[in-house]
Amino acid sequence: MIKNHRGVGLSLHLDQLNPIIESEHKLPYLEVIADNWLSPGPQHQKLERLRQDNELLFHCVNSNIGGTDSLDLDYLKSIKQLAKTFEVQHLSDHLCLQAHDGVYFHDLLPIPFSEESLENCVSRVLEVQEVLGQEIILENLSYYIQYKESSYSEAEFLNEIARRTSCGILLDLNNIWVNEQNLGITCNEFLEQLDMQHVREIHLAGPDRMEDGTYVDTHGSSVTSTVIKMLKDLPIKEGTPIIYERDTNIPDLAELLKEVTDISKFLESHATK
Amino acid sequence: MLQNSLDKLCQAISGFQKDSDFFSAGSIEPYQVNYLYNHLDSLQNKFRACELFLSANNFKFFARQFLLENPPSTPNIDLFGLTFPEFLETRKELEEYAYIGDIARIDLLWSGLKKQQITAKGVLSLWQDLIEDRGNDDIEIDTQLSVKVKLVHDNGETYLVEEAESSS
Repeated sequence: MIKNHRGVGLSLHLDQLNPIIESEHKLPYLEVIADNWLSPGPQHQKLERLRQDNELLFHCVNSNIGGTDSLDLDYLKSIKQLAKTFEVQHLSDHLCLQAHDGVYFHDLLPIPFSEESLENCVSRVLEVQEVLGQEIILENLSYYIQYKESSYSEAEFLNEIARRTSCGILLDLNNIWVNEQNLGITCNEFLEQLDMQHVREIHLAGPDRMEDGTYVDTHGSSVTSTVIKMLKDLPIKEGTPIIYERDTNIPDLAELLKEVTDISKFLESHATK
Repeated sequence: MLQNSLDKLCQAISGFQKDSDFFSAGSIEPYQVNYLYNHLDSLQNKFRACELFLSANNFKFFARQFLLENPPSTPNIDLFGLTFPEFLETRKELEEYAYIGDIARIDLLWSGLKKQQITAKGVLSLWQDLIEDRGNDDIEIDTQLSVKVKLVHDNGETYLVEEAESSS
């Protein structure tokens, strides 16, 4: 089903900047956590250099779309400025709670999928888009609890937000796989419900299994074969960025790039013309 | 209802509570572990000498106490722990270590968190290094930052000083 894709890009860490510059390896996309670039530092020039040869995407972790605190306008303005500096058009964050009552958890916490929560998220996405001056892309979550009050599935909830705000959806395939393992919400069920016309980015990653049997979305292992198979069957739009995230237990860059290339080749061999 | 559910979730995480009744399936433990270790890592990265000095387990104890008493209040995790030196100074267990706060402050300086204002002398020294190509790969110049300087002749020497500094 997948066709004319540009290959798989990489979520880039600070300590990978020098190796990737030295490797001169060109990737279709490089994604960075924008929040990690809010502090001044010596690496900004290197990112600027990489940006000139690679399409750069920003992934954020503090817009707090699912929260009830006032939106952090200083944070959003900093992100906007950063996006302007690096000429980034593609901004994503997560459908989750990140701060509450003034406390920043630096994590992606689940929210109820209820009517009240939907109204809240829609209103906040519209406000965030107003401040940023562009549409954002919202990612589905791996979550470890389910709220009693939820009346929507996550896919239905995302569809409704996208329909009412014109925001995009970032489909993280590993997250739905993790949710299937931990909570029994099947990947098929999720994908059947998700309105693929809103999907503007795909994430791939691998989880880790904890001692109690829970799978945690650590981004600490290779992408599972189930996730890669799901990817090849997705009816995604031409040019939708596909990003491989590896945040822990990171192999050296050569091995990581080989993995990315292998996934790209697999997709190429199954692409419809 | 939404506010109440989010309150319960966040209190359970940041208070490391064992039981909660607002969810129907799953476990809150992964969130508690993340909350603790994300912030512990952040403190460890900033206070390396302190951790060596206190030993890993003691450092973890004080870091956890700091987190409980000072929940992160900024989206930028780099800014979490700026008051850790003062926190250590107030701990009764560390009364005999009068210098622990200073060690922590030096750690902070090393971790580059406290941006010092760039003085005219610093700028000149930086330019000199750049002209002589003395390994400045890791120095980033903020072109938005400007400092007004003025030429001063004193005892046969000529040098630049910040304008505000010379007029005071």
